[in-house]
Parts: sequence; C-alpha cells; structure tokens
Amino acid sequence: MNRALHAVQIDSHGRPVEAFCGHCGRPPEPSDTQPATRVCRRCGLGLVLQAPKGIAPQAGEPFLVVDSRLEVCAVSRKAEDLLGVPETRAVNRHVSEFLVSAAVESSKPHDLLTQLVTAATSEEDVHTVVVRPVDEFGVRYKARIGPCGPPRAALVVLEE
Amino acid sequence: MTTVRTNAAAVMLGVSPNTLRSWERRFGFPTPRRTAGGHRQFDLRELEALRQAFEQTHNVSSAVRLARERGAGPPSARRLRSALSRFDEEEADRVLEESLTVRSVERTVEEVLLPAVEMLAAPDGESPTPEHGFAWRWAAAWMAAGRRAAPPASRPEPVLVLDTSRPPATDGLHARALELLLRRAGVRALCLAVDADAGRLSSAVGTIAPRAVVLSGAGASLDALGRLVYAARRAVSGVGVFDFRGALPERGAASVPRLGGSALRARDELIAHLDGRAANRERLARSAGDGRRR
Repeated sequence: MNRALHAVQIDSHGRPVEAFCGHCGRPPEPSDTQPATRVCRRCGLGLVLQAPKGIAPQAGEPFLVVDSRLEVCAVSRKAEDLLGVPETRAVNRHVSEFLVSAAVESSKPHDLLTQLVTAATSEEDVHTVVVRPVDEFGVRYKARIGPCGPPRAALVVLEE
Repeated sequence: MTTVRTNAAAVMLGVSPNTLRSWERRFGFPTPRRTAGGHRQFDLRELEALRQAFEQTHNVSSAVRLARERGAGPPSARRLRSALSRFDEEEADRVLEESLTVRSVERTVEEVLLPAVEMLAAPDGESPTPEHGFAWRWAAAWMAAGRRAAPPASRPEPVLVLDTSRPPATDGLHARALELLLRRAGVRALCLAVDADAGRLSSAVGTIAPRAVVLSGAGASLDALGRLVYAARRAVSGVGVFDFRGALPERGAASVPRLGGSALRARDELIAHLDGRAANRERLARSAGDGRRR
C-alpha cells in the first residue's frame, strides 16, 4: 500500500480541518499548496472554505453556508438541485425561506435557527437536526450543522 | 479609468482567463469594455473590489454582488445603465436607492435616471432595442411611484403637461420627470398624453382649467397643439403656454416661451411664472380694495 505523507491543517483550537469548495464541494487540487486566490480552480464558482473534520461535506453531499444573520451565503450545486433554487437567487435570502425544522418532537420551534446562529458565532461542536424544504412535506433530511469559514459562518450539510 | 487586458485581470484575481470570461457570461461582472479590435479591457477598480470581496464572502456569486455594490464607485448613470442593460431590476433599484442617500430625488432623476435611459436609446433611424424599452418602462414606473409619494399640493394653480411623444421616446420621460418635480414642489401638476381624442382632450383641458400649459415632445401636429392651446385660453384667461423640449418648431419670432431643457430648470421657471401670477393677483386685489375705500 502506498501511503504518502500529507500535511493536516488544523484550526486555532488544534482541531483538524478540511478544505472544500463552497459550490462544487470538492477539496482543492493537491497542487494548490499556496493558492493565489480562494476561487476554486475546479469549478470557478465557489471559494475555498474550511470546516472541522466531520462536518465538512464529503463527495456529493449537498450543503448550504449561512451567516450569523441567518442569510444564505452559498449553496452547493447539489443543494441547488435538491432545493430547486439556483444559488444566485438564494444568496442573501433568509434561510427559513428554504429550510425549516422537521423535528416534530422538538419543543423548541426555533431549534434550527438557534443551531445556525450558534455555529456561526461560537466554537460549539457539530449538531444534528432534522430539516425539510419549505412547503414540502414528507421529505426530511438529517442535517449536520457546524462552523465553517472564513469568514465565519454556519455550514449545513444535508444527508440524503 | 485604468484598464487591463484579460490575462492581466485573470492573474490579478488568481483565476484563469476562461474563468473570468465565464463570470462575465454568468454574472455580467466584471464588465469589460471592448477595444476597437474587440479585446476586453477590465476596469481596475472593479477587479480590486472583487478581489477584496473574495476575502469577505463564501462564494463568487456573493463576492460579485458585494463588489458591484462597492466597487463600481458612487451610484451613477453608467452603473444604472449597466443594470438596465442586463434587465436587472434589483440592481437598478439598488443604484437609485444608493443615489437617494447622497442626492435629492430631483438630482437623482436629472443626473442618474434620465441619462441612464438616454444612453440605452438606439441611434436615430434605428429600431428601438429591448433594453431601452425595458429601461423606459422601469424609469416611468419609478417616477410614478415617486408621484404617489409626493406631498399634497400646496398651491391651488393647476399646471397641465401635454405629452405629445409616444413611448419609448425620451421626451415622454422628461415630461413625466417635470410632472414629478412639480408635484414635489407642491404644484398640482398633471401630465396627459396628446394621442387621445382631440375633442375629449380639449374638454379635459377646459375642466382642469390650468394656469399654465406645457407642451412637451415633438410628436403632435401644430394644428392639434393650436386647438389645445385655444381650449386652455378659452377656459382660463391669461393662461401661460410654454414649450418644453421642442414641441413647437423653432421660429424666429415664437410667441410661446421655451422652458429650460432640464426638468429642474423648467420647474423653476414654471414656479416663477405662477409666483408672478400670484403677485399680480394680490396687486390687483389690493388696488381694487383701495378703489372701493375711496
């Protein structure tokens, strides 16, 4: 087995982080050790973001990036298909226009929004909530919510 | 304006020239000018704004939006023209909102709105473009909204603006701009299109009994205009009749005074006319009162 050594990036708390494109979700090319820009070289439409290992999207997972004002900052290509909205229309709109909490057993109706604000503003660990697209019933997704950046925001990865 | 070619712009942003061209197609930004030979020339300010926005956002789409808001400099007719030429109503609204933070409504209309639509007009003799048609309707709607928000009239004398142009003629927008500016100054102004039935229009002029009639645009015959002026003079003795933007052909000894070319100047001249009439009325009333006392 050929296992090459590679550098592991860590955040300010020493936790390993993973880099991914905010649009196509893929990691930057290995040759981009010191890129001149954050623009993804693969798709040219996303900026390279970082998230703690475990929350960063894996290949093909749909995700959204939401800031502390709960406005959508980025929508991955997969999430565009899943939510039926192009990124250019979703950006700068409130996240509740696209996703709502689907956890009927939850006593707190604002669970999703609270988790998002917490992830976008503090160093809390990853949380999992159940969400559904607005105006769609019978469709539920488990969503991992955690911090990402820069700039600091909340990452919502939808698990199909 | 300092500009750079595609390769240099791509290096500045750390992307490939193809990526830069794909952004131009997808987002319409950065917007290059073209040299005579067809080469793209990118504005350095736009590139720098975009480069900075990459540090503050999470994707290219947000960065473009941010760079557009900041990087294109102060809200200008050129920025509005760019938004209207892309049929981007949201951006056009934003440019005018930004303009209203640094200019009055009057100056926004004169310096941003009207010049932007004029820039999109097709040259004389060519058929109108969809971009200009869209810009014309958007500008007319914006001014209509402004009229609804104007304060109630504080002056009793009505002013009638007769618009002889047909959409999307620029003169029609200037007539609407004059109506808006008059209303914002507290004047009871009304803009009517002259393509209505001549008899009914004359009757309407009689009903309104305007103190001043403004003939705007160059789309009506002298005969039709003459009938309207006659109707106005029959309804109100001494009504002022004015030409705005060449409704009447240029003649050596014109009896109809011409208002200033801009809506703002025309408004000031009309108000001066109304003030003169008011002063005359007061003088007449005073002298009549003196006569009775004697």
